[in-house]
This record gives sequence, C-alpha cells and structure tokens, in this order.
Amino acid sequence: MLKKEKKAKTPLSDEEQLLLFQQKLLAEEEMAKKKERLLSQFLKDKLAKEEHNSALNLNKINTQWRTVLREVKTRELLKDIEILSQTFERVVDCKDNVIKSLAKDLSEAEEQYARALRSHLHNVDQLLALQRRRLSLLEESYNLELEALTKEFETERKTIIDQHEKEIRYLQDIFMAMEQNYLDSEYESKLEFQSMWNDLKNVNLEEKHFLRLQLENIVEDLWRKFQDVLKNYTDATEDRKVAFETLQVKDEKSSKEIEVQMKKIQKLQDAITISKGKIMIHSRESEDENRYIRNDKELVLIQLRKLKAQRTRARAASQKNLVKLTLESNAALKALRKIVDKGEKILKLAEICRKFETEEEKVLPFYSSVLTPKEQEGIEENNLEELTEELAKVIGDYIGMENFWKRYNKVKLEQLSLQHRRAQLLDINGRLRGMLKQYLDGISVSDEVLSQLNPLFIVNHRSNLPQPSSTPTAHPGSTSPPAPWRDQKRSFFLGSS
Amino acid sequence: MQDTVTTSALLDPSHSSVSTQDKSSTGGHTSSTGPQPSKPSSITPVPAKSRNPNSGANFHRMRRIIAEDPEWSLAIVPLLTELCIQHIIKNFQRNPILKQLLPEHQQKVLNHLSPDLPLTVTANLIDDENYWLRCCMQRWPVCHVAEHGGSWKRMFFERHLENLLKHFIPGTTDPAVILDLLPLCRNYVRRVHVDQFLPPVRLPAQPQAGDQSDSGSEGEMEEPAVDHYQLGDLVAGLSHLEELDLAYGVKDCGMNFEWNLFLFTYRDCHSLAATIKACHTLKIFKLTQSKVDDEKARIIIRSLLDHPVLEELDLSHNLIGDRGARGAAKLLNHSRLRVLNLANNQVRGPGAQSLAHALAHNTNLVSLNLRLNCIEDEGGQALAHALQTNKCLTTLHLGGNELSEPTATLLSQVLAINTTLTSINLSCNHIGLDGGKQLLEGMSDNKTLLEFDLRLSDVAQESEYLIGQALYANREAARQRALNPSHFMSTITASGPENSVG
Repeated sequence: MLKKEKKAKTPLSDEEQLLLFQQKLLAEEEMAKKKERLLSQFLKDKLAKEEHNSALNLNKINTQWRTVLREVKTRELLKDIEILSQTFERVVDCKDNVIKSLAKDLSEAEEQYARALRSHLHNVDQLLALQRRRLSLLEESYNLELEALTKEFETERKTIIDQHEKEIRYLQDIFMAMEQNYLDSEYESKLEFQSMWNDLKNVNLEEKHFLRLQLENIVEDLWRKFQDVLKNYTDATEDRKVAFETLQVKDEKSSKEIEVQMKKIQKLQDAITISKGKIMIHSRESEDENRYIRNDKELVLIQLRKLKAQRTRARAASQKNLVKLTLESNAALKALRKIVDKGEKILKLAEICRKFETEEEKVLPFYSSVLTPKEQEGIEENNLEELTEELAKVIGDYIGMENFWKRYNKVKLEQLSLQHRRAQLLDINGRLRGMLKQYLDGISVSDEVLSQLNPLFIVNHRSNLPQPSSTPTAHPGSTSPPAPWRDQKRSFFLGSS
Repeated sequence: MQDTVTTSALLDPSHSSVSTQDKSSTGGHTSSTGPQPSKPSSITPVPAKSRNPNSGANFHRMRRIIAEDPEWSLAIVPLLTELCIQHIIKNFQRNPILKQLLPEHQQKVLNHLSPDLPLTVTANLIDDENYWLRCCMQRWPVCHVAEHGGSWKRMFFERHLENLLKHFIPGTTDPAVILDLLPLCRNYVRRVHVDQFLPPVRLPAQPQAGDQSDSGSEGEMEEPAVDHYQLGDLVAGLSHLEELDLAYGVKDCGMNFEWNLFLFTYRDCHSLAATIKACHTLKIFKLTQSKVDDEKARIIIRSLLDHPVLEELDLSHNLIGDRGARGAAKLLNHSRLRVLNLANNQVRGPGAQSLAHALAHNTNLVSLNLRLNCIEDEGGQALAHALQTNKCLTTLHLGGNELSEPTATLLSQVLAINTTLTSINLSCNHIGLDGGKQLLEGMSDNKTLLEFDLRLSDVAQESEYLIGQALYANREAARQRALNPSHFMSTITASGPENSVG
C-alpha cells in the first residue's frame, strides 16, 4: 500500500505529495495503531493471564490462609463451646434443682390435698350419717304418729260403728215394739168398731122401722088434712080466682100502658139528659166566663192595688220631693242669697278697689292678652279639643273669668313687686340705720359703745378688738340676731358695706 | 333469851320477811351455838338479795310469799332433813352418803350435787342419768347422746377419756393419769373415738425420752421417735370396749404444721395390732386418715385374723394398695367380718380381684365399700363375677372407681339373678349411655334392689328415670311386705341409714 502510494507519489504534485504524505501518515498511524492494538492485545492477554494467575494465586493464598484461620477459629470455638457447655450444665443443674423442689412442693401439696380431702370426706360422711339418722328419726316419728292416728281413727271408727249398731238395734227394737203395740191396738179398735157398727146398724134398723111406721101414720094424717084444707081453699078462692083473672087482664093492659109510658119516660129522660148536658155545658161556660171575669176582676183589683200603692208611693215621693224641693229651694235661695251677697261684696270690693285704681286702669280695665300670637294659637287649639275631663269642662265655663284674672294677676304682680320693693327698701333702711348708728357710735362714747368692739377705741394702748378675723361679715348692718361675741368673732369694719 | 326469840319467831309466821330477816339473824346468832351448823337455806337468799342494791331485791323484801322459788318455804327454820341433806351435799366429797338415803332424799341430793365432784367419788356410786347429764352439759356445749347409746354417764366417761387421750403427750404427760381412770370407767366405756394423737414434744437441746414405757427414743434423723400413746394398757383395762375409732393426726396445729405430726409409726402399728388382738370384746375397729400403707395394714390385718367378735373394719382414707387389699380379702374369709370399708385408698384392679375372689365364697360380709379407689374395669368385672355367686352382700359402694361399660354389662347380668343386693352405688364412674341401657335391662328383672345411685355417671337421663321407677316399685313391694305381717308395724325400709357410712 505504501509502495503503491509512494509510487503514486513521485509523479504527483505537491498536493498529491501532501496527500501522499498524509496517506503515509495515515498509514503510519494505522500501523502504529495496529501495533498498539496488537500490543494492547498482547498486553491484555498478558494481563488476563496475569490476572488469572493472580486469581489463582489469590485463591491458593486464601485457601491456605483459610486453613490457618480455620485452625485458629476452631480452637477458639472449642474454647467457647467448653465454656458454653459448662454454663449450660450449670443452668441445667439449676433447673433440675428447681424442678426437684417444685416436684417436692407438688408432692407435698398433693399430700396435703389428699389429707384435706380425707378429712373433708370424713366430715361429709359424718354429716351425711347425721342427716340420714335425722331423717330416719323423723320418718320414725312420722310413722309412729301415723300409727297413732290410724289407731285412734280405727278405735273411733269402731266406737262409732258400735254405737251406730247399738242404736240401730235399739231403734229396731223400739220399732218392733211400736209395731206390735200398734197392731194390737188396731186389732182391738177394729173389733170395737165392728161391734159398734153392728150395734148401731141394729139400732138404726129398729129405729128405721119404728120411724117408718110413725111416719106413715103421720103422712096419712097429713094427707087427709091437706085434702081437707085444699078443698076449703079452692072453695074460698073461687071468687078470688075470678077477680084475679080480671086483674090479670087489667094487668096486661096496664103493663102495655106502662110500656108506653116507660118509653115516654125514656124519651123524656133522654131529653132531660140532653138538656142537663146543655145546662152543664152552659153552666161550665158560664163558670168559665165567671172565672175569667173573676180573674180579670182579680187582676184589676191587683192592678188597682198596685196603682194605689204606686199612687201612695208617688205621693210619698212627691211629698219627699216637695220637702226636698222646699229644702233645696231654701238652700238654693240661701245659696243664691249668699252668692248675691258675695256678688254684692265683690261689687263693694270692686268699689273699694276702684278707689285704688290708677287712672290707666279706669280707662282701660281689661288689657288685651299678654300672650304672644303663637301662644294664643296654642290656647285656641287646646280649646278646640274635646274637653274630656270634668275639670277641664268646668274650667271651660270660666272662660269669662279671663278678664278678671287678668286684672287680678296684674294687681297681684304689682302687689308682689311692691312687696319686694318694700323689702328691699326696708333692707336699705336697715342698712342705712346701721350705718348711721355706727357713725353715731363712732362719734359718741357711751357704755354701750364701750362694751362693743371698736378698733378705734384704744385704751391704754390696747384695743378692744379681738384678733382680726379673716371672715368678713356677710350682711354688715343686717338686723340678724347678734351672735355671741366669742363664737362669731365678728369684726365691725368702720365704713365697710 | 334464845327460847323466847325462837318461840316468838315460831309463833309469828305471818311477819314480813324483813322482820323474819331480823329475827332470823338473831336466831341465826343464837342458833349458831346450837346443833345446826348452817343457816337455814330459806333465809339465806333473802339477805343475799337485800345486799343487792337494785329494786328487784327491795321488791323481794317486800314480798311475804315467794311462790316461784321452789326452795322457799314459809317456815323460817327448815326441817332437819333439809339441813341434813344440805350438809350431805356440801360434804359429799369427803363422805359420800347416797345409797343409805330414802329415794326422795336421794333424788334431792342428786339434783343438787355439784358436777365438779371428783370422779373417784362419783363414778361408781352415782348412776342417775340426770346428774351425768348436768356434768356433760356443763362441760361440753354440744352433746349427742344418741351417739353414746342414750346414756349420759357413758357419754361423759367416753368423752372424758377421749379428751385425756387427745391431749396426752407421750413423755410429758404421766400415763398414770389415764390408767387411774380405768377402774372408774371400765364399766361404762364402750366406745373410744380418738381423732388426735399428739406426738411427743421434741426439745431441740435435750435428747428427749420420746416414748413411754416400751422403749427409749433414738433421736436420729432417720427414724424420728414420734410414737404416740400406746393403747395397750388402756384397752386391756376397758373390759366392755366394743368400738375403737382412731385417727393418727393432730388437729388445730395451725402454724405449727409439720408432716411428722401425722406419722403412724411401725411401733405404733405393732402395738395397736397387739392391742386389738388382745381385746376380745372389740366389734368395730376403725383406723382412718392415718397414712396406713400396705405393710402396716397387713400387720394389723394379721392380728385380726380369726378374731372372735370383730364385725366391722374401717380402713378408709389411708394409703392401702393391692397388697393390703389382698390381706383384707384373706381376712374376709377368716373372720366374722360383716362390714368392710376401704374407701379412698389406692386399691387397684389386682386388689379388687383378690377381694372378689374372697367375696365369691363369703357368707358374712354384708357391706363392702370400695369408693374412691381405682379398681377400673378389671376390678369391677371381677367383683361382678363374684356377685353372681355371693348370696350375702347387701350394700356395695363402687363410686369413683373409673369403671366403665364392660363392668356395667356384667353388673346388669348380676342384677338379673341376684336377690340379696339392696343398695348399689356406681356414682362418678364413666358408665356412659350404653352402660346405662344395660343396667336398665338388668334392673327390669331385679326385684330386691332398693337403692341404685348413678349420679355423675354419664348415664342417659331416660335410663336413670326408668331405673328410678323400677326402684320405686321395689321399695313399694318391700314396704308392703313389711306391712302385711301386722297391720300397725312401722316401716323402716332399707333406704334408711347404712351401717357404715363411707
């Protein structure tokens, strides 16, 4: 390749030489690379081999090292095992001891339990025996009592039965005896009866015969008598028979008449009843009417009474009213007179007051209202409202008094103001008097003055005054009652006001 | 002076007790010189009451006749007989005069005798039950006189002896205390029931002579000498002893509990065996709750072989196993035993088999109690086999023995043919439903069984009910049989108490 490339180079130009050079370089590079590769391959193989060998050697070393270590380790392990086996044995011994002691305890507990069980069983058996004995005793006593009861019962039964039998026999005997007695008595009585019957029969027969004979005789007599009497009677009654027949005919006639009359009577009776009925009705009606009338009369009477009562009451009331009226009229008269008097008084007072009136007032007695228009409107509004209160109603009547009140208030105000003024003037008067007094006191010397405090009054270089107080008097020269000197410590300042 | 006072006292019996008191005090003074040594008893209550500050005494003083006091009498001076009787009562200890008196005086003396009189004086002299009743009631709060045959005297002596035995500490207490009592009580004691035997006191410092007469103590740790009181002399002295009921243990030990308090040693066992062999009146022997194991049981049973009168043996609540049961089986046929109680022991199948073997040909035993052992089915079946031939046993208690169905099957066959059994108890076994049905079939053929206890045996309720019906019918039949011979005879059926409960 190179040769070819070299050959190819000579005829070539620089570029081609460059190319060739480059190719050579490339080839060389490739060669180098190949070599490198080979080298590397070789090195790798060697490395691999080396590694393989080293691995082998390492393994060998490891195995050998391991054997060594193993030995050491086995020695150590053996030691450990010995120690462990010893401790294990110790532990096993401990556990064995514990187990033994537990087994001992268990056996002892079992023994104790067995002992307790035995004594318990023994006691229970004793109790059971006791109970059984008790039960048997109770059963015995029950049986004994049962026996006793049955015995008693049997004996009682026997006695009762014996008694019963005895009494039955007794009764039977009595019965037999009674029967016998009865039979005997019956037989006897029967015989008696028979005999008596026979006797009586005989007697009766005889009597019958006798009586028959008698009666036949009597009958014959009587028949004869009867026949005679009959004959006499029929003779006697022939006439009467005739009369009787006529009367019979009459009787028939009269009976017919009677019938007719009876019918008439009947009719009349009916009429009577009818008229009675009518009378009854009428009477009832009239009674009713009477009753109504009476009721009305009653009512009227009642009314009358009521009215009378009313009248009396009205009279009384009217009398009372009259009395009241007179009294009230008197009272009214008096009141009116009083009012009149009052009015006259007022007029007199007015007269008197007129004396005191000013001229202005004489001219214009009633001033117009002092109220502002607004207030007047307000008052008118109030006046327009319904006056519900009585007082308001009453007061409504006194609207006419407004003028009076105006004058009165005016006068009153003037009076008050005058009073006030008077008071003020009095006050001023007093003060002036005081001041005058002070002045006079100041200029005069007397006992009174000496006794009072006076700063100007100096005797022997000593003033009469106490120490000057810081409270000046409120009303110098006032007529208030003088306080005690020592308490108040007033000081009169000359010329102070 | 004396005469006037006494005559005036006699002449005025209507005086109030106050005046009588005064007069009696003077009379007492004057009469103290006389032959009457003691104050009249009718007056003594009055001064005693007058010293009482409460109003009741004053009220008494106001009364002239105290009717509710039977000792009071209107007579101020009591009768001479009264005084003599009082004196006799007071000095009874020194001079016991009883037999020479008239019956009514005897009665009075007996009523007033103090229960605290020494037994040496009263034991053989006084037979009045009332006196012994008072002694008993004074000493013990609860008295069941029926347990002691209805005799208060017997009860007193038996309990007194039991008390001494219970508190006897061998080595410390003098055995003469008990032996001295023998001549006094030998005629009255028929039953000794001791449920506590105190071991000898072991003082740590001294080597204690632990035993009484027989042997000295060893004082070694291996065999501690805790032999209890040996009953040989006592039993030999009691000539009428019929029942011996022992339990070797200590009651109320509280915090002082030690296991060696409950040991029944071999020496005790040997001496006990010798005692019972020697006692020819012993009918009932009970040794319970004493940790009697096979060896000791065999020792005792050996001594009981061919005992002439023993009828009841109770070794319940001990540790008897199969060997002991074999011994008991041997005893069954070599004695006149009627009641055997081995409840709550450790008898197993083989033991029960040996008992059954003995039972098959036995003609004495009436009641056998094997409750709370563990005989299981092999033992149960053996017993059932034996019952097929036994014609004497009436009561059999096999409760709590781990029996189950095979035993029930065999037992039902027995029930069909047996005519002597009246009471069987199979409670607390695992009989099961089928076993219950088998038993029911067996019961349908049985006409004599009156009690059949099947509680807690897993038997179906229906079976139990039907068995109950059959039992009721049997009981009615038994009652009728008892009634028919005589019209008014009372009926105590076999449902009453058994002879030995256990």
